[in-house]
Amino acid sequence: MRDLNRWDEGQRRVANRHSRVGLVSSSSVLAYASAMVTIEAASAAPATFARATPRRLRRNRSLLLGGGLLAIVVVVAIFAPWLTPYGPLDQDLLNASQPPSRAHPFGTDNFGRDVLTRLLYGARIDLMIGLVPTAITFVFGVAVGAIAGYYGGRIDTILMRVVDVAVAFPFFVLLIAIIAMLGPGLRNMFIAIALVGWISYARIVRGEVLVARNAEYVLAAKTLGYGDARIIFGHLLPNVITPAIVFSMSDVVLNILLGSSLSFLGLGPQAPMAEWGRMIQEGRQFIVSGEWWMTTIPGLAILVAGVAFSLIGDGLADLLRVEERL
Amino acid sequence: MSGVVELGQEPILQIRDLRTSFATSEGIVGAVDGVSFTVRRGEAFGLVGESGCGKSATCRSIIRLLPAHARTAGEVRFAGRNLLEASDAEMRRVRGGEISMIFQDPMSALNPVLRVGDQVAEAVQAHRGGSHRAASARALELLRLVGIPAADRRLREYPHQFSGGMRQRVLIAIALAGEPKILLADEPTTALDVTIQDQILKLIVRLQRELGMSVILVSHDLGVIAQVCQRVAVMYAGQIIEEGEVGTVLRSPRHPYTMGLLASLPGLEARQRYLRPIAGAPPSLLAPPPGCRFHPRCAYAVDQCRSWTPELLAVGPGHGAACWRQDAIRAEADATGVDVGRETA
Repeated sequence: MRDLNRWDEGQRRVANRHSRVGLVSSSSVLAYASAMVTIEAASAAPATFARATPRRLRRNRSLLLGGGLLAIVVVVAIFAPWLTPYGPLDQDLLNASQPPSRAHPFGTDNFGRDVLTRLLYGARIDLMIGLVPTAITFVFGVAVGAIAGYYGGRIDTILMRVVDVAVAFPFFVLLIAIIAMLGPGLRNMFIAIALVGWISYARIVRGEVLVARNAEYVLAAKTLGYGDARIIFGHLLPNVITPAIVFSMSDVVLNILLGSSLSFLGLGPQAPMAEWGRMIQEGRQFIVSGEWWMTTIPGLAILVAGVAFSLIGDGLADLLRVEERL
Repeated sequence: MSGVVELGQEPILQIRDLRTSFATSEGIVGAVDGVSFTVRRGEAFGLVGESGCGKSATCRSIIRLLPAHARTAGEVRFAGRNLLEASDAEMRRVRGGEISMIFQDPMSALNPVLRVGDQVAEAVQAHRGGSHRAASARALELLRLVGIPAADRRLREYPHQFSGGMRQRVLIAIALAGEPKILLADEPTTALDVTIQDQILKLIVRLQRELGMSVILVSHDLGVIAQVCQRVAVMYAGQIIEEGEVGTVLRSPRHPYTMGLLASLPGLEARQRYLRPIAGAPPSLLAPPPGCRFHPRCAYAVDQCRSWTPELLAVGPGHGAACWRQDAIRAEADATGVDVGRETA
């Protein structure tokens, strides 16, 4: 019953979040689907890292595949300067809007910049957009959720009312409003996402802690005279963190999409920075004239990154799940 | 309060008029109502009674680990101070360091995601400080002390790889990590097989003797109490109704409830075909009956019992019972020539 509720909650949260992101291409549908799968798998939780034996790791196909894809993206991001003769900002107006060719495998954009080069350099920014806000929101949200769930009472009420207020706002409008206040740019985009994104983690972890805090091992820890911080972070969190970890993987996908959407709106990284969402936005006007590579190629890149993280989330959920409870 | 003569041994824990109540939606439940007893250094003291009689609540009141809606009054005197008035920081030092507790269900009292050795070592480090390496070495000693075979290997395993009996041993090792003076054992063997139960009880007895530790053993099983304890207090509806040396109480009980408990035990004799339960059910602690709380179920009850609450009074050396009808009970025991109770140990 509890698991079911949690599943619903997770599903709704991802759905909500997603429908607010909703501006981006076909890849988002896929990300949504795999995020749902991920959450579903995660809800079977109570897990132990003990189970992460090498043998189980080898058998875990989604984790291997996702990890492989991600490794490619990371390698490409790191070694971008050595993988292409062009610079991401080098313009060659004589060769503008060229379709894929031997010299430019993914063609050039309207300024004659090599799309492949911009794609490789863009991976750096997009990985950052995926990972940095997720890391911040994960740490903060988990801490808030754990504290609210453990203490309950007034602390819980106050923290959860803050969450309610934030949830009551349309997610995307709130983001845009915050960025409008701070000014557009990569750093402010991170701040805006961090301000809003921790809420999901707080809710997931709070729900888990509410159940786990009544476990006998928590009482046992209290009878040993352990302090609250030790009990919350040393004993409770390892037991309840799995759903948050799994959710964070789909959150990375959502943040990449969110970053793309925001830069599509001109609120993220500014031109001429190479970023996939930005590239789609710049190429958008040329779709009608048949220059499809300017939008499709970065769209596919987002898709690949999204699938990679989704698969990893899926694989982690599998890996961290206890097969049968005693 | 306690009129029981105390034998010349140093008291380590004195509980005076302990009252613990829970505020519920239906009213205030007085789970512990004026309980007083003394535990001596190095002795095993038993608290026995049926479910809901307040024995666990008494235990948890001692280390102040009750839900937030509980209220406690009275005195728990340990090492010269009243624990009920101690600060939270002081209580944290007492818990695990001076008074440790083990639980009924060893399956759920260990943290499932942490290695067994780390859980023991953490308890060592929390109370005795020192390096992680020293704590791990001590953890190994403790696991050997509680009789875990191949302890050096099992140190690195997780709780799900341990059987129930082995887990209870680990929990005892964790409880011993702070070198406590008192071990509270709340139904430590209820969840275990009978054979394992016997091993765990023997372990507790051995540790109590070797370490000179006091043990407070809570159980509903008189046999368990008889195996481990020197003295016992019988609880009924939140009060102690009889207290004394285990042998004395089991052989010559002086309270009708204790007599009923002993009579209801299944015997090995073929002639006893049916169990003899005590008629009726324990009273609601929301509104306990006036007078003696046992009177609605008591064969000896007279008018006095219905209106006046008896106090624990000496009925023999080191033996007290809270019953107005001592004359009748004693007369009956003398007349039949045999005591109502019988050998259990």
